[in-house]
Amino acid sequence: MERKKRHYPNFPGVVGWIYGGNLNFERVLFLLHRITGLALIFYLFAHIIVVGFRAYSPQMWEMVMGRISGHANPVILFFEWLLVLAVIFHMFNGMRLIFLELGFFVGKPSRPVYPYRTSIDRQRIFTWIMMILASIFVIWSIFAFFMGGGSHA
Amino acid sequence: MREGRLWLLHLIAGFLMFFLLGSHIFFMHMAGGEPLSVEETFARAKNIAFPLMYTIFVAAALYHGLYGLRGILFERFHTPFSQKVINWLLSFLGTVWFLYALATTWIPFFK
Ligand code: HEM
Ligand code: HEM
Repeated sequence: MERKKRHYPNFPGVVGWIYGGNLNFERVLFLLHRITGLALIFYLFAHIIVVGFRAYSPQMWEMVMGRISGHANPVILFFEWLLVLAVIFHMFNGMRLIFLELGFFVGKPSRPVYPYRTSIDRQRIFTWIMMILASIFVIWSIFAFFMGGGSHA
Repeated sequence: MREGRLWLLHLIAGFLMFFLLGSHIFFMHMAGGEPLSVEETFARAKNIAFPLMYTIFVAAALYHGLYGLRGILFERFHTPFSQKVINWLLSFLGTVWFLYALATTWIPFFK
């Protein structure tokens, strides 16, 4: 059996995350999806440990929350908000990917007759709808976090 | 398991989390009240619906997140050997964190 190459000659590395040949709307969404996905999995590891303190005793829980919840410190509150932005984006963009990858909203296949139609144009409408929905929740989160509309008053 | 099945599970877990994580964020941040107070936290812990829901949620989140991380690592590390190491390492991490989450979710329910 032939040994697999260590690196493919066209392997772009992390630069390829940012620049993979062209930089269009979907490409930016891909980069953001990757960054937010990584942020979320690392957060989840920490989150399970922190939230696990409720298993020891109510006093322990109160002590931990008193130190690290957004109520305790405006800097933490700000980072919590960034996390919620990441969740909102990843959620809606992820829903977009699920639908597109399963073949919804990409248009019917058709004979390539000039002027050719690309499925990107079909997808873009759905993409914009998802991003607008995400923006509505982002605006809501600003009210909830910084204007006393949510659990942080 | 075949590669395609793993990927489909990743999508299903993502779809599930649209609702699970969506409502989690909604109730923790946007719905008002004091969700992190001792009273509300332990009221949830004693309500069977929450530990059950969290059991599914942690499993979906860990699987989905680690499968995503695996894909990113596989892009960088191509050899069959390194990919085997990554598979074992991520499965191990996922199992340990899942069991810890399971314990900390169900202990307050029974205590
Ligand atoms: C809220 C609901 C979520 C949905 C709908 C969702 C959906 C998706 C989808 C569709 C993908 C791309 C799969 C593909 O292209 O084949 C993906 C990638 C990923 N997701 Fe999620 N996801 C969600 C939550 C999460 C959470 C909570 C985490 C972390 C624990 C996470 C971590 C990741 C990672 C690390 C990737 C890989 C990114 C990449 O390869 O560039 N996701 N997600
Ligand atoms: C900053 C916003 C968040 C807050 C305030 C928060 C708060 C909490 C709290 C208090 C619990 C304990 C269960 C309970 O009391 O009902 C919990 C559990 C959980 N959270 Fe979050 N959470 C946040 C964001 C997230 C995110 C982004 C994820 C996904 C990556 C996540 C995933 C989970 C999971 C899987 C559990 C169950 C863990 C277990 O039962 O051990 N949370 N969260």
